[in-house]
Amino acid sequence: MGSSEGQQTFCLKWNHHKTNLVEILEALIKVETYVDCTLVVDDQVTFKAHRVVLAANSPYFQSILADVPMDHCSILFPGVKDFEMRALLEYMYTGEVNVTQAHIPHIMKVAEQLEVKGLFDMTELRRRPGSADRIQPASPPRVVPAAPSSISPPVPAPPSRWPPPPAAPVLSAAYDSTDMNPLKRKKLSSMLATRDTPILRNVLAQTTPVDSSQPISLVCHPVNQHAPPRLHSNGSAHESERASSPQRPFDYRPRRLSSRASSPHFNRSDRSEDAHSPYTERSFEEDNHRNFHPSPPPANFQQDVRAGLAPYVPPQQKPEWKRYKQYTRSDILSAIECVRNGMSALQASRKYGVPSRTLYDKVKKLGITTSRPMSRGVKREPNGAAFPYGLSGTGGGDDGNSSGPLIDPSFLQQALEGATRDGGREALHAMALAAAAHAALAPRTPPRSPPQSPRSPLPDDDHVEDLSVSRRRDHEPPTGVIVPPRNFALDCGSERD
Amino acid sequence: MGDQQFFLKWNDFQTNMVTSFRHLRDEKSFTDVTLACEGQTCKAHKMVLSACSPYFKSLLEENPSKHPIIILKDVSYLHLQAILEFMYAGEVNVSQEQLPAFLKTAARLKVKGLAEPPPQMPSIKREV
Repeated sequence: MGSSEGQQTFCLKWNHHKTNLVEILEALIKVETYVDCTLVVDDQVTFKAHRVVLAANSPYFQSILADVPMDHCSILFPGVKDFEMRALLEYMYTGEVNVTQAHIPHIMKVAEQLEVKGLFDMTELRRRPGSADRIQPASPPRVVPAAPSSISPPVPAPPSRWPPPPAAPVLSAAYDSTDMNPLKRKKLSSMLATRDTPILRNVLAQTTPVDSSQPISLVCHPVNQHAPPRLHSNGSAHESERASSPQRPFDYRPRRLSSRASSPHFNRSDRSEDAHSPYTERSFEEDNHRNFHPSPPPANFQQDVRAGLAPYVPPQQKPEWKRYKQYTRSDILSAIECVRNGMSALQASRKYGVPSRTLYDKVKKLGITTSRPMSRGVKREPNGAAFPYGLSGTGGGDDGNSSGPLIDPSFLQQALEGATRDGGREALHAMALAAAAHAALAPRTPPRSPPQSPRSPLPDDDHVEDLSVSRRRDHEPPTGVIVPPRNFALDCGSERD
Repeated sequence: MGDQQFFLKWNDFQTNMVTSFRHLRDEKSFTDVTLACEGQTCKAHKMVLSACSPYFKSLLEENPSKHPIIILKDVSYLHLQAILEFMYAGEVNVSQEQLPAFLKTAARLKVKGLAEPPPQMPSIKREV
């Protein structure tokens, strides 16, 4: 935990960003908004376009338009037919276009001249010395694939990402390969991070019933100590506006709001290795209370914390290690007594200023039934195994956490309804909340391995679709690596019995 | 008494015009049109293009843009440069093997002096 003082940064990442950008551009061109150049082809047919799109799709345009100072420029294409330009523009904006067979050679020719990416790349191949003689224009290795009605970018051109393919098949396909090495896997995870899945959308929708008190946007989880955050921010900027409807077209809801784990709120040093649950809102709240209000806080404070937000941590706060021992043994004993007498552990922890997790642990070990089912549920198993889904500030993983298997809403429901034993109930509830919260934030981040354990090739195998113990075991990695989901599965199984 | 007219003529007018335009082109001063082909561009003056080619004249008249970019199809950059040189200077050196293609391009662009009434107009001097 290198820098503990105030240097907390967040990675705000919106997985829809790329698709949104593309979609917006396409929408803008349809209404010809913000267009800044006019393309004129034969017969005085004109097209409006955005220079930035042209430049993005063609190095040729890029060089031509680089030094064009005008607000609006005209580009004349004598000799180019309107259907050719129309097709190319559609291709440049959407990454695909339907054309008739007869038009293909013309369009390809123009595309070649304009160096339209995806189309141009292939013509480059054709032009290569040596191949030019052998490959005649009409020969089989034509650029255009067999499908007569569409030109699709043959090589991974940037625009071809749109529209994003449904991710579920991608996920399963990717996870099916069991020999993925960590590097590949990392690549995969980053790739997946750009996609959205229907499944995960469902989960997002489900988070509200599971824990209606927590607006999605408020949940943050600490992660990625080692991964370079793509965007650094103090994290508080867009919080509240994201809360309401996750599916708004322009909703910049973060897919991952992760902090460099140096934050005091996420480095609970009393529990450093399973320190942070994804379900951090409450902990944050409590920390605030503890930090600022050693005595019972003003009633509205909690409200404020909840409404506004903030995973943002004022930089001047003391780091956790400086304040986590602010309670005495008598405090904790009094708190335990209160719990024994029916107070909820959360209330008791606030009243006496003790860490609620510690209190839970102690209460639990004493076998006391808490009056409120759950507040923070990350518990330590008696055998010392860390709750696998606690996010670890010290964990070696760099790609999120491991609540993958919990994402299945039906499991959450089942867990909430079916668990009756207090301990299990609490834990399950916590898991469910954690999963829900986490799903809202990092639906696609693969689970992380427990600290110090090597990254397993497929700990996240089929987590997204199901939580099935047997299935999980079927996919046991051959290397015998300890995989967190397995721990989880076992824990879960024992608790649901 | 006052209606006597004087004829003022500058003998170097044409030369001056030519050198001035050439100078402006070299400096890219006041250029107001960009010609592009084969991924390369060169800047020019609409006035010169219009004066030397009815093709460009009509093209530019139809598209009254402040600084249009004209992307020429099937024109080699080499030929384009030679044509511009011809337009600005009235003369250009073209290698023999390039000559047919060059003249063809010039004909497509209707460059005065190279295109219209076929061969005899420009005197093609052989430079060795």
